[in-house]
Amino acid sequence: MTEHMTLTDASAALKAGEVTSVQLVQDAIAVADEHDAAVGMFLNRTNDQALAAAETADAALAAGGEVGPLHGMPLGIKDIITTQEGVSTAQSLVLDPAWSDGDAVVVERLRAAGAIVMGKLTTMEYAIGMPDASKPFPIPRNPWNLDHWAGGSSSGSGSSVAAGAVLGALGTDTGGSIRIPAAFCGITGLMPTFGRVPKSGCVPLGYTLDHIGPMTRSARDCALMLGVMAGPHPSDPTTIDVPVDDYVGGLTGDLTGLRIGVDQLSRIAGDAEDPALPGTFAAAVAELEKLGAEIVEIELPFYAEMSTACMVMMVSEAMAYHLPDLQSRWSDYFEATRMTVGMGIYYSAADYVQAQRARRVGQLALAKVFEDVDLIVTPTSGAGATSFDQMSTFSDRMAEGGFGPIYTPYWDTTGNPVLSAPMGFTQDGLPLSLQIAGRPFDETTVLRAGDAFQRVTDWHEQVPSLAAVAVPA
Amino acid sequence: MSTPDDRTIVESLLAMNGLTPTPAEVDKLVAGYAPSRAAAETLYTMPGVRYEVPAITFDPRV
Repeated sequence: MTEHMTLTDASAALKAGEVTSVQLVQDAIAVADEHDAAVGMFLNRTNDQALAAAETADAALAAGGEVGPLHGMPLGIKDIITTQEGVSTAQSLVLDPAWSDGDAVVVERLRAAGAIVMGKLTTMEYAIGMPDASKPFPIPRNPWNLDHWAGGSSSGSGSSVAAGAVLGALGTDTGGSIRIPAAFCGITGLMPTFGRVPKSGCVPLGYTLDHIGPMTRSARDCALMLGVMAGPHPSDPTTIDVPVDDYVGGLTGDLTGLRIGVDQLSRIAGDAEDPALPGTFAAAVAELEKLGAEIVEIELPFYAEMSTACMVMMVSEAMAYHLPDLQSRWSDYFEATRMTVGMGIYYSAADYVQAQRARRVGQLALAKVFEDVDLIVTPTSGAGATSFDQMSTFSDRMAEGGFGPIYTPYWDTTGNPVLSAPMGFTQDGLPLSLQIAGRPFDETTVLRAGDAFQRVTDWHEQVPSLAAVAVPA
Repeated sequence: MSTPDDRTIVESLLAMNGLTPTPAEVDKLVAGYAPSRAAAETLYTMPGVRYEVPAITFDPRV
C-alpha cells in the first residue's frame, strides 16, 4: 500500500516505474472507502475522474514525455477553493453558486504540474467556526482519536493527509486554519507569506488575512507543492511579484550559521498547556541546535495586540461579506459561524482601521527581531487536539475574543511564512507541533529548517492506527 | 447622562445590523462584549501606533 508515502517518495517511485498513478489513486480511494464515514474527510469524492486522470498520467509517463513535479499525485482540495468538478459549498447551507467557476488559480497550477484531484475536503463552514451536528455535513474527527476534533478550518485537509486518503492537500489560513489541523492531525502544513500564493477562486474569510498553502506529510513535500503554487497572478491584486525560489533545492539539511529565536509562549497558555509540551518543545529546539543553529531566547513583540488585531480584522472583513446572508438566513449558518462572524458588531470602522495601524506597528517590531535572528520557533499550540467534550469551552473562549493556547493568529496578522511540523505527542497520545516562522518571502529558510528537523526526527512519519477504531455512534 | 449597559449596547448593535439571534445567542454576545471591547481598546494605546498608517494599500490603477 502507498497511502502513507510522502509525495516526494511517491513521485520518485512513480518515475522509477515502481508504482503507477492508478495504484496511488486506488490506494487513496481504498483508504477513503474504509475511513471517510468515521473521520469525515470529504464533502465530495470524484473517484471516476481521478482514476481517468491517473490512467492518462500513466500513459503520458509510458510515452516518455516531460512530466510535471506532481505528475500522477492524488491530492485533495479544501471545499472553499473552486475546482472544475463542481460547486464549492464552503460546507454551508448558505450556498453561493458563484463559487463554481472552474479551477482556482492554485488548482490550475497544481493540475498543470500533473496533480490529480481526489475530491473536495471538509472545512469549518466558510473557514470559520466549529463543527455543528445539527447541520447535514460530516463531523471532522481526528484520525488519532475520533473523540477529538481534527482542528480547523482545513479539517479534511489535515485528517485526509494523516489517514492517507490523499498524499497532499490545499488548506487555507486566516487565523491558523492550515497550522491548527496540521498540528492536531500530526502532519506538516505551510502558511506561505501573505501575497506569495494567489487566492483568487477561494471563498473569502478575511481579505487581508487569507492565505492558501500546502498540507502534506513533510516539509519537503510542502516545498514541492509551494514551488508549483507560488507566484503572482493578475486575478489577485494582493499577490506580490517576488522571485519564486527553488524550494526543494534549498533543502540542505544543515542549519549552520542560522540564528533561531525561541519563544515557548507558556505565559499565554497558562494552565491549558499540556504537561508534555515543555519537554517536547525543548527536545525539538535541541535538535535544531544539534543541526548547527544558534539558539537565542526571544519574546514575540505585541503578542496580545497582534492576536486581537487578527480577530478584529477577521470578523470585520467576514461580516462585510456575510452580513446580507446573516440578516436573511441567520439560522442556516452553523451556530459557531454566525456567532463568531456576528462578533463583527462589537467593532467600529475606526477599530478596524486601528487594527490595521496596530498591525503595522507589530510588523515593524517583529522585523526588528528578525534583524537579529533568521527564524523564530514556538509551539503551534500549547495543547493537543480539542476533544468534542471540550468544544463548548473552546467556543466560549472564541466568543470572548481569545485564542487560548492556539499560537497561530499572531502570524496571520504579520503575514510572515510559518511551517507547522510534528514534534511529539501529548500525554494522551495526540500530536504536538512546532511552528517555524521566517522573514517575509523567505519560505526557503523556513522549509530548510523544517526539512532538516525531519531528517533527524521521525515524528512526521508517525501515522494513526485507524484500522483499530470503530465509527462513533 | 447614564451609560448604557452591555446588553443595551449589544441589542442596539444587533438591531442596527439587522441581525436576529436567539435569546441564548444574545446572552452569549452580551457576555463576550466587554472582553472584546477591552482587547480592542488596547490597540489605541500601543507604543508607536499614534503616527502609524494602516497596513492597507490602494492602487488607483485597475
